[in-house]
Amino acid sequence: MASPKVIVLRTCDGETFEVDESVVYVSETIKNMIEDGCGDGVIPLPNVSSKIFPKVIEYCKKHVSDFESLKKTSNGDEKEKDKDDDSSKKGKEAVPDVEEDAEEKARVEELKEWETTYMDIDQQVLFDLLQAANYLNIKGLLLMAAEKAASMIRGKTPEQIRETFNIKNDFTPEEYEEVRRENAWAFE
Amino acid sequence: MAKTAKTIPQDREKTGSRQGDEAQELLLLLQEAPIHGDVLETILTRLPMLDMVAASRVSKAWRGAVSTSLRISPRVKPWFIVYTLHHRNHSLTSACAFDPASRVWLRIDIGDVHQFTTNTIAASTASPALRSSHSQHLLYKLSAGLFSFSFDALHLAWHKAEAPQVWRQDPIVARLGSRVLVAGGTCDFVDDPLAVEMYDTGSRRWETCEPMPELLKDSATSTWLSTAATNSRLYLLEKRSRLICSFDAETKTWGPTFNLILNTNAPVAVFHSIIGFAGDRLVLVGLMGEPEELQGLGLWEVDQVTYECRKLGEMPPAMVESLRNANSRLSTPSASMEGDFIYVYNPSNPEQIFFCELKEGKCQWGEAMNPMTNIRSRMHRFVFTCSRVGMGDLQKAMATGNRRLTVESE
Repeated sequence: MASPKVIVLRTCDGETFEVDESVVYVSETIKNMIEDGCGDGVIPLPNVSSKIFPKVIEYCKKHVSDFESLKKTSNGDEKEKDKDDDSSKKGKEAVPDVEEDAEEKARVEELKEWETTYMDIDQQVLFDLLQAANYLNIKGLLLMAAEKAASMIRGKTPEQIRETFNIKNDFTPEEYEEVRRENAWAFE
Repeated sequence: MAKTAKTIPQDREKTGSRQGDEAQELLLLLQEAPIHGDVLETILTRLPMLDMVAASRVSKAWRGAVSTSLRISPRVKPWFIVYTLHHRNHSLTSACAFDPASRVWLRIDIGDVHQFTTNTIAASTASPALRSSHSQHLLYKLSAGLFSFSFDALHLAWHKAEAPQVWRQDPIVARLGSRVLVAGGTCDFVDDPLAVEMYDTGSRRWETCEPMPELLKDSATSTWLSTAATNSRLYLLEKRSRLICSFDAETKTWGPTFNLILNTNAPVAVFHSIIGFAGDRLVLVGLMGEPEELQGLGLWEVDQVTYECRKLGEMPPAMVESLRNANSRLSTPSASMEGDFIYVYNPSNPEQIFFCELKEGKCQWGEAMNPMTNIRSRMHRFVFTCSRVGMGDLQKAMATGNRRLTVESE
């Protein structure tokens, strides 16, 4: 096959980036643009800044191999299926091959560690990442960032949530009283 | 915090063009309202019901996003609820619930305790004991004069009815949609130990139905029979013998009795089974080994027409060991199910609970320790149910002021 194609992208603040096609393909949005024929020119990304783009690309680079390994093991998937059929006949839960299991476990562990480091970011970066992942339609990244944002909401009172996310309480006093009566909460 | 804007390239000369200016404005906009719309809804779908209530009070936009998020992904993981009662006087000591979505235990403070403990206004008459039917989250109290029951998720609404015609002790009580069935039970003087009556909450009347099958004559109490019910059908299973039969609420008749056959790895056999409905599935929890020594716990799906049993999974051995240790020799583990969850516990000590979530037909096992240590007293009896607690239930509970929920642990 020819050498991997390089795609040129421009962020909203005018900076350009050159990235391997396989890497940007992790973004459904960019993938669709390329398939629609925009891959030869510069692809504009009006909702993504040059500050957050490298962080997004870091995620894509890590997960390109996921896509590729999925393609490779399409045979492997069928193998998995057969195994399940056998075990259901035996009437027991599937006991996977010990070797495969250990390899898989190590891979999952490594990915978890990578994710922990990757998500060790401050709040503003997290918000930028959420926006970017949403616009670029990178499901895995969006869910990971959303989970982190959700953890910032858990256990908090409405006022604490407002402080964390810098949100203005736009309920009128009457409206707020109504909402409060509806949802009076124990830890207030 | 978010008040400090991230550094925007101040160098307007560099970008120069109109496009650059618009880009700067867009960046500012992105900072001012960083979390909204799709993104906010996605974040909210990761929150369990508890936190959704707080989130809905943050701002108008958040309130809307909470509604949308609940529509996209309704929280359906049922809570496991434990009511602690005083052994002798049946007063309600405390109540708590486990939310598997957030893996949190909540203390429930109940304002209208009398609903749970008395059947009459005069406190002088002996309080009937609160019981759980283990079907469709029904709680009930049955005394000679009154039959009161509740089946909403947090047991806020209690129906009061006159007692059934035939007085019995320890009968089978089950809810079938808007009807409540009372069957069997023991009584000294009654001719028919297999009597069946059904109460309709709409007409508020009792109706006598076809009596239970003869084969259940010696075991027609809730001690020996396990119940599983849907809105139109009831299944009764003899816990030891695995004799099963069904009752149709429309025709008010019983089907034939069958013996369930479970395939296990010999020599380990199932000595005790409990049934219930996990969603649309009729599930059997089978304790394997011997009463004195629990060796395993299996889950089977029972075909509602052919009564064929298909194994769903088995509790991991380490967990079986914990379950065995949690139970005394005198009490057998019990189970309660709803939606995709099957909760397994020691009915005399709910300090440790075990559960299985059926995800796409596969079993995901978990366990949780109850941090409410005050329930460990020997003076207490416990009543268990599990139910899907939705936003509406929580809101109603708060509005009446009869429930206060406090998180006990992380």
